[in-house]
Amino acid sequence: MATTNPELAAPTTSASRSALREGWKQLRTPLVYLLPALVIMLVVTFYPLAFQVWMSFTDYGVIKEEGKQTLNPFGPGGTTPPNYRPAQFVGLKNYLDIITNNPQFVARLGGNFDFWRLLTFNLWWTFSNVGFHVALGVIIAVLLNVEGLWGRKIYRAIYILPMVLPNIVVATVWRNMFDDQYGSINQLINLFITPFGFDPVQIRWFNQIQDPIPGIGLPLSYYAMLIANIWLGWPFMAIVATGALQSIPKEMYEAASIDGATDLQQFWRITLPLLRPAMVPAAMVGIVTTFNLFHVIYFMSGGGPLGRTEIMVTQAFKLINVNQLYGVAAAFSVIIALVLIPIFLITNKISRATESYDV
Amino acid sequence: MSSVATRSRRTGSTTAGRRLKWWQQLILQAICLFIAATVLFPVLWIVSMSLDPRNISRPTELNLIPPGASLQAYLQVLDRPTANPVTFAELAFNSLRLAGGVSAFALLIGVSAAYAFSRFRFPGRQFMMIAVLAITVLPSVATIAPLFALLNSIRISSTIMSIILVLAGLMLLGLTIFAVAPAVRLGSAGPGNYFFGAIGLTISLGLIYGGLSPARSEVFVLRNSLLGVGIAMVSGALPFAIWNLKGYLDTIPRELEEAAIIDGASPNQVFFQIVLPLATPALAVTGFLGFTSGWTEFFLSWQFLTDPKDFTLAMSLYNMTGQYAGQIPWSRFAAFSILLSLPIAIVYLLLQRYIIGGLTLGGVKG
Amino acid sequence: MKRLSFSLIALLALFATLLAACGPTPTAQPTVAPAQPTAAPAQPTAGGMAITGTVTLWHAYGTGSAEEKAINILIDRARAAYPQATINVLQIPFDQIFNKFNNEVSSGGGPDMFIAPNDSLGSQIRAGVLADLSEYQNMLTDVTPSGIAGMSLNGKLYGIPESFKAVALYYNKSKVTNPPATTDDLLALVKSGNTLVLNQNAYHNFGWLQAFGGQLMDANGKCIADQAGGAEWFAYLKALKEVPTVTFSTDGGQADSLFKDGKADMIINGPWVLGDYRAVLGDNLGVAPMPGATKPAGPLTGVDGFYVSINSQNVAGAVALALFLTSPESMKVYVDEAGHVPVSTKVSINDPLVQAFAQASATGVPRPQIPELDNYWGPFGDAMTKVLDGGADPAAAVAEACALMNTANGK
Repeated sequence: MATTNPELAAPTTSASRSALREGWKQLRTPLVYLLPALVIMLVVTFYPLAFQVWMSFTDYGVIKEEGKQTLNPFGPGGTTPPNYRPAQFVGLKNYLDIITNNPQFVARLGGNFDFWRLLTFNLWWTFSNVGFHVALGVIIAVLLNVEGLWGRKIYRAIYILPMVLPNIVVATVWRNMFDDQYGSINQLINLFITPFGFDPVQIRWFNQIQDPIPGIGLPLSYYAMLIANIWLGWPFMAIVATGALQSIPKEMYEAASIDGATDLQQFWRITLPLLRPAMVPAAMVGIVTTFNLFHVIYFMSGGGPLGRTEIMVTQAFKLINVNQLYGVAAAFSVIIALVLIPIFLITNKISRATESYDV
Repeated sequence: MSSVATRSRRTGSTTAGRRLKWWQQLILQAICLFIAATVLFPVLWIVSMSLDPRNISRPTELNLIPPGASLQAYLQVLDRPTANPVTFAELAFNSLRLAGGVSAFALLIGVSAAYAFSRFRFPGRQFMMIAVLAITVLPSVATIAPLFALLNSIRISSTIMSIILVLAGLMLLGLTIFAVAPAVRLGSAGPGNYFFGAIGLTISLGLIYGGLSPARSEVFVLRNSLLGVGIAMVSGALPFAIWNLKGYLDTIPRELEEAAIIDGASPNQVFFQIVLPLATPALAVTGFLGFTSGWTEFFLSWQFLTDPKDFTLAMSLYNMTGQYAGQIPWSRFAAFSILLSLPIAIVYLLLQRYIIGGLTLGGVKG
Repeated sequence: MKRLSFSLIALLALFATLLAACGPTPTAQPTVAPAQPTAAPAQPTAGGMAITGTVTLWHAYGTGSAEEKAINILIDRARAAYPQATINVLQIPFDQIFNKFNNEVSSGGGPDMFIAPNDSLGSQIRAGVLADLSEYQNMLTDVTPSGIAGMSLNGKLYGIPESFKAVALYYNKSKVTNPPATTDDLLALVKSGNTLVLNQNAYHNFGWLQAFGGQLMDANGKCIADQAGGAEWFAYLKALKEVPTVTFSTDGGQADSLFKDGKADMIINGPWVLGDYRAVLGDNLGVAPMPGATKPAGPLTGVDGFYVSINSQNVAGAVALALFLTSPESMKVYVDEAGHVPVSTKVSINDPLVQAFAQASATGVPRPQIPELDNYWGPFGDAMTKVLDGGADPAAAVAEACALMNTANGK
């Protein structure tokens, strides 16, 4: 049955044991401070994760074909429910079903599941969004930093608005804005084009199958969500960039000006290199956030059309919410973790986050 | 990290001592106004829609101020947003309990661990830190399967559950007093201590309140309760809090602590009397970030809860959108969205300068 | 689990107990009654059973809809009639009600009962989440046989039927004087400038499969829509799509709004929106059968009913509530408020629009109660999207959908 994952459980036990022998004193005080958090994390974080790994090798969930479930062994009055059976070990089946797109498995999910397309889309979704966020954030921060620009404070106050709204609200509002019949985006477009004699358009943002830009396999709903998420994401980057910009000494620009460098040269030679240390960790945070951006996808396109804008986290949720395939969902979540680990390692390496404090 | 360090140096612009020519000003103003328009458009759209009194299901044209603008939609939403027999206040109270409880608990438990990671060298430290950090990268959707299964198998009689809650509350209350009282007695307590104490007090009183309120059913299924959702959320919120707080504590200079140690202060005294007071902004910001993610949490509560008395605002937002909410006028959806966002937005704007730094320090959990 | 059955004697016994218990303290509901399922005579009384204990009901009637109004009236009545019972009601959005019910019941929780169409009855029975209600079948004396059939599988009853569901053509009389009788008429009508909105999914347009001579599945549950009718069906939808006055909507709320706003003169939809449409259009609202082609259209006929969870500790109470909500008096509320087509023969329908839906239900294709149907919705809905939004070839799309459905069903 479910045992704690040795890999995950090891640090506390083995570390404390060896420390007991070597020097209890070194560990005693930190352990007291760590203990509450460690105990709680072992119970609510690491044990469930280990359990998840076990689940991923079983048929845990609702087994429709047999009319059985593995979720609840407790019937009324101490009995076992008649439709309960313990989860059975299925080996790597869940993993293989997912990564090989087993036709029967895919058909049972409705026919739109394609793991590799999902993964590619998820990565592309992440990097395209963060790319726009960082680029726009830096440009707008530089723009707002121009000396003598009127109303900078007002602009700064306005520009922070997308950040302060919860993204679940942002997603639902943008979903309605992109409504093909009643949405404000189409209404706005028509406001501009009808005076020139064009027919009003009704762009089907979330349904259109034909790719607006042929050859790259991204449906229109991707672009709709990209627009919404750019709106949502750039202000954070702009604020980070502003903070970094203000720490660049003016003297550097003055010296460059004297040396005859143009504004553009100053931007490339001074501003960008000095922004990098601040922007890289921010971009890493952005990448992890966007990779896992459940609300925007789930509430805007719902993964459509034809599941082409599904990302890993929305698919994982649907495996449970719609299909009650807990075992498959667990395997899927393990795969998500495996995809995120390289991203995490790169984050860690670049931002050197786990390095010791006392340099 | 640099963004925090630089926050104190708001020195102004980079291109020093230049005045813009009128045409440069014009172009830049045009760009800035355009950006402002794109930022404001959705906000204005939703605000103007929320003021529409006509109860039309969906808006047919763009107008900044709808004819006969009124707050009617807000009143309707505050009364009963969905078909379920819960008022906005009840939904908001549930969201508040969930978000507040989770973030407060994570802070309470997380701050001491963050202190240990930040200030002590001990075997296994690096490994544990990586383990904590790795969890903050994992999306909480990816743990929904085991958490559902495990919490679902915890079923106890409601009476026993009440006793457990009361006992846990009393225990936590004792711990809080134990942790905060010495500093208060010595007169060295800073806002951090009071903050810490207030959190402990709130959670313990919340637990006791939960234990004393009448049970709704004979068997308490942990999964199908706000407490269960809270536990599932702590699973991700605690590592996040530890990590975020560690990031802050790392930026606090150690000279004061070193001086105190030379004066013979014990590690406990250093923690409670020096570090906690200094960490007040960090506690507030980390707490707020945790609160925000709890306030808007959707999938765990949606998957776990079935009693409308437990429902949260984010769950009701889902009830109010989509094709099966065709009879709910968008004005009401708009009003609900605004009411849902308002508390977060206001606190965000107030704590802005602290929060921005916090976001880059800890990473964000989806 | 112990299931209690009530006969007339049991009922009397129960009332006696209740009367006896109506002393100073209201006691818990009586739990013991002699079970005599075979001897139950016809029950002419409303409901026929007393609602006892705690009953939790889930429904998916939209907030603010006429259906929600109807259920609220009825629940209030039930609470007033049986003050000792506790009736809890939860609304779940329709797209989530089956998911949430299945998931909850599989994990040992969930409500006592829920009301929904028999969309996935077959697969829910197979998944073992529904209680067998066969012992109560003899109480359904005034229900039409097709109503019972819609709630049954292999001779067992799994729900208390409430109303029939089948789609028909709603039209705005101020814009359309003669509703189209055939698909060609409809096409000509929209080409001449009348507007039409269609829900782009595999349910609302199903009727045209039979109209073009097709059939979804053979007796073994194998998809055969690609052999006849399917391609013509999708080709017809595609022809409609090419007319600028036709809107296909994937959002039911949006489609309803278009019709109610007068932006669409016609819509194909079911009786459940009748109350909402009438509130806006009044006497201008007309209902006609879905237009046929070589054959009459065969919309999928469903039955809405109350299902009881396998976990329910209060099956008798749940069934009693279901019987109360489907009694002739209650059905009158459902009919008047929401335009439901009652399964009860005791309720006479005077409203011509409801009659039109009764007609549509009587002539439609009864929904096959086999689990294979579960794998119809996804593939065919997607095929429709591919044809209408992606310009795919109708015949190829239907063939692909059929193949996918058969793969999923292991046929």
